[in-house]
Amino acid sequence: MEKLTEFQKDAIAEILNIGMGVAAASLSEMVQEPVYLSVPAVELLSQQKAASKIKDIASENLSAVIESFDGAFSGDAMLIFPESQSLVLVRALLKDEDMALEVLSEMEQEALIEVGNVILNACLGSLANIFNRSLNYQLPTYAQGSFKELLSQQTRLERESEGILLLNMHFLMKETNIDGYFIILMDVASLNELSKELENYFGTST
Amino acid sequence: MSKLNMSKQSMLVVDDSRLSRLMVKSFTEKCHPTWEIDEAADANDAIEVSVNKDYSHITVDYNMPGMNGIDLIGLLKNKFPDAKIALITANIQNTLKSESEEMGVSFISKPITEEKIISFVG
Amino acid sequence: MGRKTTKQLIAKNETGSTTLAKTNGCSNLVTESQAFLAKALVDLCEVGIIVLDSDERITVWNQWIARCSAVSQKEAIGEQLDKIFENITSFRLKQAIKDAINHGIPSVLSQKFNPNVLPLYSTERDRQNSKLMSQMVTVKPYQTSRKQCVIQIIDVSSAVTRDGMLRSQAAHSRQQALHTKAILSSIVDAVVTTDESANIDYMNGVAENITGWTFEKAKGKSLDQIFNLSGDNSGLSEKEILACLENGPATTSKGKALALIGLNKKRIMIEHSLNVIRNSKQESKGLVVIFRDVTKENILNEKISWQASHDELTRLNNRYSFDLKLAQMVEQATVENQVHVLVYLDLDQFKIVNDTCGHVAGDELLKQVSDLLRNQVRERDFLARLGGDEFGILFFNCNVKSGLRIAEKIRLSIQDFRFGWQDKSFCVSASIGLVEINQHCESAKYVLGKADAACYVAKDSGRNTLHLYQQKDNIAAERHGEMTWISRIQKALDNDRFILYAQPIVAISGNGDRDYFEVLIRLVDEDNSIIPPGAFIPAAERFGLIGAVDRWVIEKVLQTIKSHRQFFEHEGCQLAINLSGTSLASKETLNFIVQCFKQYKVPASMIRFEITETAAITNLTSANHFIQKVKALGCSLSLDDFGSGLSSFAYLKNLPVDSLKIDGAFVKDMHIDPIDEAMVSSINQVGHVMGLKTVAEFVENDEIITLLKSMGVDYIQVMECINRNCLSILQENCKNTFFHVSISAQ
Repeated sequence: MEKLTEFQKDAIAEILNIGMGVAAASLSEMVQEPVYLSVPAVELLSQQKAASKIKDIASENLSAVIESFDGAFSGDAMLIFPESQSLVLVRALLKDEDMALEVLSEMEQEALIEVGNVILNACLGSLANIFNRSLNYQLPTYAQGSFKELLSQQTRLERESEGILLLNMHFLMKETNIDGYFIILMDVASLNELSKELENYFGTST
Repeated sequence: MSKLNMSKQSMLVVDDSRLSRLMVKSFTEKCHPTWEIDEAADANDAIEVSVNKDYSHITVDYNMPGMNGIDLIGLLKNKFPDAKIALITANIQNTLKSESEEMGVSFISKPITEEKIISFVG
Repeated sequence: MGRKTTKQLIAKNETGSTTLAKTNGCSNLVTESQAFLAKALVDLCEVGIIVLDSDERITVWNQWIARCSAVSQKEAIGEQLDKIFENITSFRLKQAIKDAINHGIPSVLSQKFNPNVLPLYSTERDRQNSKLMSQMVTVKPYQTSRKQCVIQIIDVSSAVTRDGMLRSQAAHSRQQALHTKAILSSIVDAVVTTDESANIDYMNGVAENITGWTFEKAKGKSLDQIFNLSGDNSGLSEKEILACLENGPATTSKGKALALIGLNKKRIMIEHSLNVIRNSKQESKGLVVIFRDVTKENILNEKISWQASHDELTRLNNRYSFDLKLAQMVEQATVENQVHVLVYLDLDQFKIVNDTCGHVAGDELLKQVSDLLRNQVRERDFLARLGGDEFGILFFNCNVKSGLRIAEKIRLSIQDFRFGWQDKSFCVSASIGLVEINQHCESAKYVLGKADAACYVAKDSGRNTLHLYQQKDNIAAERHGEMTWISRIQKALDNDRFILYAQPIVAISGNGDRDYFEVLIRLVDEDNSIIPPGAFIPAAERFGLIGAVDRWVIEKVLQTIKSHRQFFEHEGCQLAINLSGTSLASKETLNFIVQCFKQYKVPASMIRFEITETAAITNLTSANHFIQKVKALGCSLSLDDFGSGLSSFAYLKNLPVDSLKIDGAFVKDMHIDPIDEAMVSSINQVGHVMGLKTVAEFVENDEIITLLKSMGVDYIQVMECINRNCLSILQENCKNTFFHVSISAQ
C-alpha cells in the first residue's frame, strides 16, 4: 500500500479542515447552536481497518447522508450519526416538538437529505473553490446501517479496493446532544491526482 | 495601534498544520523579508517558543490538538498586550467570529490567501 | 479502476432525465427526430422539468410546469425564473442554482424545509382556492460545453397528506398507548403481556414487584420463565400457554391460589387469568396475564377455614366439620352399601376437675385426652370434639366388631390415664356410645341421636362403660325429647306455668302423729295440657334448670302458706317439698330458703324437705351440710325412695334425717312378694332403730295397709284420697292460687 507523505497528510487535513469548517458553519446556522469540531484525521488504510477506525460508533446503527463525486478524483462525502439521533436532529431543525412517529417519515427522510446536502455542499463547494478541477457530484442519498455496511454497500468503493483514504472529523452539538462525523472517503487511485492538485494550490512542496 | 520601536519586527505563527504555517510565513515574508517569524504547532509549543520574545504580530489557528486558539490567545494577550493578533481558522461559525471580535482579535477565515495575510501584516 | 459503475447522473425520475442527459450530452450528433423525441418525453413527464442556461435563462419548460404554473412554454423560454415568478423568495433555490451552475454541485430542497418553492398548483381548483402545491425540488448541474442546471419539481401533496395522516394516527395511537400505559401502571393487579411467541413485551410495576423481575430484564423472555409456577398444581405450563395462544380460551385460577416462584425464589400465592390478544382478523397476537398477590388472603383463608372446621383448644375437628363428615359417611353407607362406625364419647370426670381445679385445669384435661384419643385412632378415622367434654369418632369402613374393639381400647387407655394438676391426681374415665352407620341409616342426625342415646345409657349404667346402641334403649330414647324440654321448662318458669298438687301422707300408727301433704309439681303446657313431673324433671336436671324449678316450688309453697296462714295453722298441716341433688349442693338454694322463711314469715316447722337417697349419697358432703342447716332452721327432712341404692344403710348414719320413705317399688307388690315384704319390713326396722319415722308410698289396697300396720310403719301415702273432708276444704281454699290438691295423682 502506498504511504502518504507528511506534506500530503498535512495538506489533505487542511483541505478537509477548511471544507468541514464551512460545513459546520452551515450546520451551526441551521440548528442555531455552536458546532464543536475535532482536529481532522487523515489516514490511508485498508477497508477493514477503516470500518473499525471510528470506534465510538462502530457498533451502532447509523444514519448517513452520502454524496458521491467523481471526475479528477472520486470518492464519497458522508455525514453520519447514530440512527437514534437522526430523529432528534430533523425534529430539532424542523422545530417539531411532536415526536408522534418513532421512525423518520418519508418526508422527514427527504428533509434529512436536504440537511446533509446543505452541509456537504458547503464542504464540497469550498473544496471546489480550492481545486481548479471540476468534479461530478451525485444527488445525496440517505442510508442506514453499521459503519461497515455503509462503507461496503453505500459508497463507490470497490470491495476489493486495496486501500482507502479516510478523512474524518468528529462534530458535536452540546445543546441538542447530537454528535456525528464528517467523512470523506477516496480511493487510492485518486491519490496522485489529489497530490497534484494540492501542490498546485499550496504552491509549495516538501 | 502598534508602537514599533524595534528595528527588527518579529511574528509568531501558531497552527497545527505545517502547510498553513508555511503559507502564512511565505506570504508574510513576501512583504516583510526582514521579519523574524517563529512557528508553533500547538499551544504548548507557542508558550515555549515565546519565552523572552516580543512579537508584534501573532496568528493563531483555532482548531488544534490540546488548547484551542481562543484560549491560547487569552494567554498570549496577557503576555503581549501590544501585539496584533489574528485568529486564522477554517471554523467560520458566527459564534467564533463574535468571540474573536470581543477579544479584539482579527478573524481570518481559511483557506489562507495572500490577500488575507497581507491585509493583516500590512 | 477501483470504482463502481458510475451512477446515473440524475437518479430520480430516470426515464425523463436520463434521456435528457443523453440527448443533450451528444447534442451535436442528435438528429432532428431524436430532438423531437426528447422534447416529447420531457413533456410527457408527470414532474416539472426546467433547464436553465449558464446565465440562468430558461431553455426547457415542460408541459407539466406550464400547466401547474399557468405560464406557457412560449412565455417562459428565454426568461429568468424571477421574472416569471415575481415573488420567488426562496433563497435556497437561488443558492442551489448557483451551486449547480458555478460549482457543479446538486441540491435537494425537501418539502419539510421548503414547502412551496414555486407558486404552483396541482389543479385549477387548487389555484382557485389558493392551495399551493407541496413540492420536492432537486437542482442538478448539467455540464456540457456550457454550464447548465436542471430543476426538477415533484408534486408531493399526496405524500404530505399521507404523512399528515400517519402523524395523526401515530399521535392518536401514542395517546392511546399513554392512556393504556397509565391505566396499566395504576391498577392494583399485575399485568404482563406477550407477543405471539409468548415472549414478554410488557409488564407493569405491580408485576415487577410480584415476580421480582424488572421489565428491562424480563423483556423478550418467555412467559413461563417469568411466570414460574411451582408445585403439583402448576397452572401455566408451556403447553397451556401454547394452547391458549392457539385456541384462545381464557383460563383463570380464580378461587384457587397458585404458588409463583419469584426471581428471588420467594413463593407468592397468586390468582391469575390468562387471555389471548387478538387482532381485528381474530388472529392471536399475544397473551395477557393478569394476576394478583393473594398470599395474605390465602393465609387468612386457610386460617379461617381451619378455624371453621377445628376446635381451637384441642386442635381437633369441630362439631361443624364432624357433622359434614358424618353426613358424607351416611351418604356413602346408603349409596355404596358401606359400613362405618360412629363412637360418641363423654368424659365422666370432667365436671369434677373443672369445678375443683378451675377452667384452666379443665381445658388442660381436654387437651391431654384429645392427644390420647389422637394416638388411638387410625389415620383414616375422623376425630372431633363435639362440645364440652364430648368427643365423636368416625371409623371409616369399619364393622361393629372392630369398632367395639377399638372403642374398648380407647376406654381402657382413658381409664389408665391419670390427670395430674398441681398436687392432685385424678382418675379419668369415659362413657362411650357406639352405633353402626349402615344402609338403613336415615340421616346423620338420626345416627348421632342414636350414638348420643347409647352414650347416655353407658353413663347411666355406671360410667366408664362402652355401650352399643340397641333399639330398646328406652331411657336413651326418652332423652331424645329432652332438648325441646329446655325451652318448655324455661318458658314455664318465666310465665308461672307450673301448678302444685298435694297428696296426703296419712298416719296409721295411731300414736298421735299428724297427717301431712307432699307437694307435687305439674307443668301446664302451651296447649294447657298437664304434664307430669316424670316427663320434664330429668330434662330439667340434665340441663341445669332443676335448681330454678326447686326454688319456684319453695317460694310458691311459702307464699301460699302465708296467704292462707289461718287455715294451715288451724289444720296443723305440714307440707313436704321435693328437692333435687343439685339444690342440695347449691349454696344459692340454701340461702334462698333462709331468705324465703324470713320474707314470708312462715314457721319452718310447717315445711318438710324430701331428698332422694341417690341425690344424698352422690353429694354426701354437701347433702349433710344442707340437711344440718335446714334442720337448724326447724324444718323436717325425709329421705325419699329409700332402698333403691344397695349400700344405703351405711350412709344412713351420717344423714340426720327425720323420716325414711320406703321405695314404692317394694311396697306396691309386698302383699304378694315375700322378698318385697321382707325389704319393707327390714327398712322399717332399721329406720325405727335409728329413731326415724317410716313412710310407705304407692299404697294401693287395704291388704297392704293391713300388712304395713302390722309391721308398725308410721305413715302411708295412698294413691286415692282417704280423708276427703280435710282435702276438699284445702282444695276449696286454694283454688285461686294455683295450689291444687289432687285426690288421685296420675
